[in-house]
Amino acid sequence: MSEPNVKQSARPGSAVSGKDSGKGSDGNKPRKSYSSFGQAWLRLRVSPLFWISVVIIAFLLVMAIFPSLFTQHTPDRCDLGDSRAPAGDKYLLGADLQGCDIMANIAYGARASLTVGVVSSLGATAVGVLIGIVAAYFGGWVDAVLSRISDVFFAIPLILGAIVAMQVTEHRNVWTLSAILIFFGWTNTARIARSATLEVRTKEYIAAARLLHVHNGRILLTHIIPNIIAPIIVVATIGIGGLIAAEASLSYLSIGLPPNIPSWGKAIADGQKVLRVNPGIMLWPALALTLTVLAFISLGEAIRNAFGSRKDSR
Amino acid sequence: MTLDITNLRIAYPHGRTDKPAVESFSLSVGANERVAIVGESGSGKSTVANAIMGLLPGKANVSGSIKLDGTELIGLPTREWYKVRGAQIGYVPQDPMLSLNEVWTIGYHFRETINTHHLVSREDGRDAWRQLAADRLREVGLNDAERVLKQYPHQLSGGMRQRVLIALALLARPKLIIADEPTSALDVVVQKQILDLLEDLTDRLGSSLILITHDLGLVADRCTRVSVLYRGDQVETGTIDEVIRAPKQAYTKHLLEAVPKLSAIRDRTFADFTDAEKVLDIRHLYKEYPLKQSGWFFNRHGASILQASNDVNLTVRSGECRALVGESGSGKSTIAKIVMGLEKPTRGDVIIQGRNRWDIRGQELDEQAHHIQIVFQDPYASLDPQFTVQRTLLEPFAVHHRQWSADERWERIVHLLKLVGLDEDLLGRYPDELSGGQRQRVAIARALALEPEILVLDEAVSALDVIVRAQILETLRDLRERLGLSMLFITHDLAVVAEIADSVSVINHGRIVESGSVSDVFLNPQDDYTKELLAAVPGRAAF
Amino acid sequence: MARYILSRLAQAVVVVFVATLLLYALAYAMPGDPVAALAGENQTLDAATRAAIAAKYNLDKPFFVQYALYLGRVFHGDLGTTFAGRPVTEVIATAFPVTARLAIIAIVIETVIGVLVGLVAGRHKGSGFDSVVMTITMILLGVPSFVLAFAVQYFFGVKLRWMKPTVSEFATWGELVVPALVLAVGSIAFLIRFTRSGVVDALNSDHVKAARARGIHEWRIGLAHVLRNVLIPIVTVIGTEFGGLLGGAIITESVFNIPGFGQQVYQHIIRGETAPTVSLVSVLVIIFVTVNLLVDLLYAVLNPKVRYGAHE
Repeated sequence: MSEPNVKQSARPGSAVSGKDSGKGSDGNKPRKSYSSFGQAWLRLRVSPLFWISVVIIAFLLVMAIFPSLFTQHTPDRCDLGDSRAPAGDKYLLGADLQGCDIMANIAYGARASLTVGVVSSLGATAVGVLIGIVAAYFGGWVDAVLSRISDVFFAIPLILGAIVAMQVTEHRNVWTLSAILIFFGWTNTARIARSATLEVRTKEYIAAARLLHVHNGRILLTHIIPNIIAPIIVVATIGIGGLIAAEASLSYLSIGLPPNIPSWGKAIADGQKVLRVNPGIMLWPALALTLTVLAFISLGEAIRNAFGSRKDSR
Repeated sequence: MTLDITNLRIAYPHGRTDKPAVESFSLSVGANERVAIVGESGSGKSTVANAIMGLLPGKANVSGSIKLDGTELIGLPTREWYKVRGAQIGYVPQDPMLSLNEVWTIGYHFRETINTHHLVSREDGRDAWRQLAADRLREVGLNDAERVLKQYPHQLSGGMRQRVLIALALLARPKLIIADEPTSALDVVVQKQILDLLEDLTDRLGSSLILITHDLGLVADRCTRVSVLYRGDQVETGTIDEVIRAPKQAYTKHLLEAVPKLSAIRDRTFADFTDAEKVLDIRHLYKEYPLKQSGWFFNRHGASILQASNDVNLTVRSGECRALVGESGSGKSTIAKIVMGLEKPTRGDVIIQGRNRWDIRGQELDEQAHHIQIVFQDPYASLDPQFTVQRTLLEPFAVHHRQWSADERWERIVHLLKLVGLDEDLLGRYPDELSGGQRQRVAIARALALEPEILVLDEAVSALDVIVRAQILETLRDLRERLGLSMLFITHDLAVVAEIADSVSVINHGRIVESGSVSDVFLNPQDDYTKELLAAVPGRAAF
Repeated sequence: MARYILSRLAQAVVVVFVATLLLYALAYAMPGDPVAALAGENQTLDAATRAAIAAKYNLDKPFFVQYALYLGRVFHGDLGTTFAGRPVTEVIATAFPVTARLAIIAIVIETVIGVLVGLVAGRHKGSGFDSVVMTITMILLGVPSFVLAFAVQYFFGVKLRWMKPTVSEFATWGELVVPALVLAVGSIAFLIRFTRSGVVDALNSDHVKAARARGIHEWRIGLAHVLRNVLIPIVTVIGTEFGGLLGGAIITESVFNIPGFGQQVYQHIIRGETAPTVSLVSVLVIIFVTVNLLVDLLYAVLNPKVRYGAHE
């Protein structure tokens, strides 16, 4: 992969005579400096993978916010008489078993999917980063306790924990589902944040800041978080895709979102019943789901490539 | 054996610059000769070494000629290389800590190499390789050979590992040994032992040695000929007498001048500080580390203790530069941490400006930052990569002098830059856009921001290239003069001490073994350890 | 080494204890009506039935007493009964071997494919093969497992008729290969990428350079100095991925109608039976922790730094 040459760093031993200070190695030409985030953006800007994912995600966002732009039907107004109607003028992609517009299911389902995905990924990231940083920065018994707690949550696979929790949840909706996914889903981020903080914490610029009596909160905000956030942004982005898939899986198992909220997972479960005769009923929501998850995963991949980090994390 | 390199050119497509990594390099090495390739980082010296061993990455464009006993090595088919590497050319790597595979025993490394080069035949019996390996380990001074063979790399010290690697390199009795900075990761005393061993063994076996190094002192002591590289160009080549004693090229002269020398003491005048006020006074300092043990559920602190500081007494007087000298693990960095308040001593006092470091609280603690500041070893790690130079230098004022206006802060920053000899243009840059020397200057400027009386320099020039190091030392001397700074200069490098310090304390295993003025201690050392350290300084004979 | 094993064992026991406590607490101490939840969603209950259910699950006692009683029963091999009156232990006994077969096939597939493809891709980083692998693995990571399961079922089972769309009640090794492959797809993709980056790092390491300089043959370097070293973190990843495998098994088994553990969980979810679900999920958690304990031991065996006590 060819990367644009965005910086020309002078390495030690740059000058034969005179001082090593003074102007940069490229003479008097003024040049722009970029932070690691600025450099990543320069690389992202020319990454096709990034733009493809962004276009898909933007399209999905529009769909989630204005579903009525995509269909004149709504998923709650169904006509049993149109059950399994073929694609055509009335229904763009046909109608499902209950005679609901498939396009309406997809368009309105985007809202639930994206909300759960984004909210739970952001939430899990926030919780994970907080716990990971606190554990690593303060160390000692704080770290020991938080790490053991994290071991316990790690022992409960996400889907399994969510199944138990959702089963006893009275009000199943987008928010309770997101809360449960956050509750069982933060450990991965916490581990990454912890090990990244442990690495940054020993850096001498942290010691230098402490010797200037910069207080802990400021050190955390200005020195630690900016230096560990890159891999976490990647994980959080990919996590949106993963959690959208988790929501769909749970809804498919009939333990995610309730029947009155349109959801792709639910639509796929319904379509399963007539897979042999009407594959289209399942095909379209499955396609929407796959495309969405893929868009977030490839966005994460593009960001990872832009930051040039080699650490693989899912 | 003869090695003839003519007009070697190595370039990487899509490199940072169009300039090739190495250009028009020529060198010949005869039988039983010791030749050095000298250069700073980025000079291309390791690239040359890799080219001789055929270990350049596939994308490198190589032209010219490298002939080993008449056989052209450039473009040699892979199958043929197996008969050259290890058999005709031995390699001693730079970092012994990383150059052995941690999942295999030392014995495995030997057996693998012995089998590859068919050094024992099947008739010799199944354990013949073990016999050979043990012999070779004894040859490099590891007398407990049988045991070492069963051990894993992490169970050996750096010096022992380097001995193992030398034994491995010499296993098939190659006629040419390439040693790429073989001691730069090791302590001074061990460094000398390893180099003595290499010299002795190659002499005895009649092998030639190519020594790749940045250290001219080391070259002057041990080699017959030298080739100086600068940014891929061969600046000068010739015998030691020609190049070291009568250099022709400006760069070589510059490099030689920049090498810190023990003999600097003779040319310096020493001021007398005995009556000056004590700005830093360390009294009966002890620091014990309980060794961490993994427990059943939590890690616990066990009964074993590491004595990092043992009754340390040390003073820095106003205007004085006190050097604290020791090898890695001697406890010198622990003292820096305690002085800076990053760690608590087990017992003892650290008195800064008349106040005990560990008695003060709250507001006064903030004032400590105005008394004492530190510059660390690694200029790459001591600046936050997300901060521009400007933001790094402004940081102290976010906590101190908060009443200052933006203009006042700006004025102060500009003044600081001037002090350390940096251009204002650099304010907008990020650390990865600065050279090592520039970074270290920024770190010094940050340390000076609050106008401390005492500056602690913890191996502050050790990671820098020779010429840059000389420039930073010059800046430090200049700062002392202009600001009347007192310094605690922590280092392993006695030659640097001879260049800058007034007084010196030598530390070994947490104990100060000798203390006094630099001229007294260096010219008339009393303690055996100090003598050993002084004897190990490379370049003693030449400079 | 013995110390390491014992400490890991102690940790695992505590983790299992706390994790099951957490699941139990979720199920029985959540705000809401646990009795109704236990009985299943669609039941209407009179007061007497309610009291009977409450007494049966000790819901009339304080929470920790409930949990202690529950644990006591579990240690006597009593995991409760399903609403249909079948003991949960019996359900586990019949379903477990099926899921074990599925999981074993999946782990073997993911390890073999993941390590081999990752090794080759890492060895030839930047080649055409490498780019193809990176693209395919990204797509595989992005396809939700049940979508993939349906796609496989539809195209190979229904359209092409290369296989039966669902698995027989015996769930033989042969029948389980395709479902196991589907189940393992995400892990395969992840392991390929993980192995690849490990191989790239190892090939650039100083010890590999030193081995090359000793004249060691490239294939031997690949096996003894690259693969052998990368194997250590790979083992850990396989353990971590096993958790996803267990969650995924619920979906895979329901799609292919495999009479395994996941299928049982699914059935109880549909019927809204909380008590058996909690028991079954707890058993899965115990299996997961046990597998990771084994992984830790394997890690110690592979890593001399742990074996010879220097893991600080």
